[in-house]
Amino acid sequence: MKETNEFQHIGKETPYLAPAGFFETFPEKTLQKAINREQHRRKNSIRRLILSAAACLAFLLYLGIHFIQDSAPYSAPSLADNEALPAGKSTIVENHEPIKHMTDVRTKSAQSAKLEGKNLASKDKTEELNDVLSDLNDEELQLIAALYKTDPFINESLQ
Amino acid sequence: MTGTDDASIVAMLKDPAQKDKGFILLMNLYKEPIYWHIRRLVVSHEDAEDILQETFIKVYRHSGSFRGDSKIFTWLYRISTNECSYHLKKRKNVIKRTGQINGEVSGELSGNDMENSKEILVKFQLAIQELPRKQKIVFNLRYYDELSYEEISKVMGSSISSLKTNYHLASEKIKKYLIDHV
Repeated sequence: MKETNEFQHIGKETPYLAPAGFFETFPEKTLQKAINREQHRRKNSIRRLILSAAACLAFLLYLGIHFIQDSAPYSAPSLADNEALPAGKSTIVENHEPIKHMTDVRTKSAQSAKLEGKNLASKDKTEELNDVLSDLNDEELQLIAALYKTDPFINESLQ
Repeated sequence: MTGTDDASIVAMLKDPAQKDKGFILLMNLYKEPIYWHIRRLVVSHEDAEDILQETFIKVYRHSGSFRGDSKIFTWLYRISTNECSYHLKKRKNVIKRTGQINGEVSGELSGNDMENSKEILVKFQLAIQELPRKQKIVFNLRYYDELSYEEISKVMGSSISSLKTNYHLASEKIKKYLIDHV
């Protein structure tokens, strides 16, 4: 302790003072604050746990929905389906464009046929039917004609 | 700072049924030396009170993980010194930003606390406040708290030779300050 005596003329006193009663009230005040902080910390950790569990659940649900949506519109043909077909006729189609086009035409013609049926039921609406038919192109008209020939409900001669 | 008291306090802190009682005992035993250690470093009473409270709250929270490898007062000094270091760094940044140079410290020292104090004590404290952070902490722990270099090494995590150098540099700077200002 020799080196700490080099300021002997100053001593160990300091010019600082603590407010009266500070040390008496300090332990109780600090204990209360420590208990409150601990309770708050526990509550927060429970809240964090619940939130993270909810976030995980939401994420899993999202993943589930996402995968269901992805797989629902497209069902890949199984190997068994391909084997059941005659050789060279596979259900796996490389180019989807023609199918899409055909579907569109069929949908249009089916709609117009429906419309046509409704219009036939009412003689007053003959003009409307003519208007609809005039809107259709040749290809669509041919399809309707083909349907008319093969459909036993429309073509009376087939009944 | 008796070893047996420390052992029983640590045992109480680890027992949930006696934790609060042990905590009060610990505070009654160490609140004053730790308060004065903090006060000498940060000067303001309000800051010292906040840091002292924070120190004991940390002890309360982590008392279960205290392994007893070191003495409990070394642990308390380490926590409070770290808190002071953090506070001093923050204050240094504020002073840098606002351009104040020790005015805050001088103001504290020449306030009401100073009415009955000798001028030399104020000069001595101003000289200590002029020191770099590490030298200030080493000087205070050695000069006022009379800790050995081994104990200071545990508190600060520095080597003994570096602490001795820091103490020597600090005392030289203080002597020079006193010659220039008294």
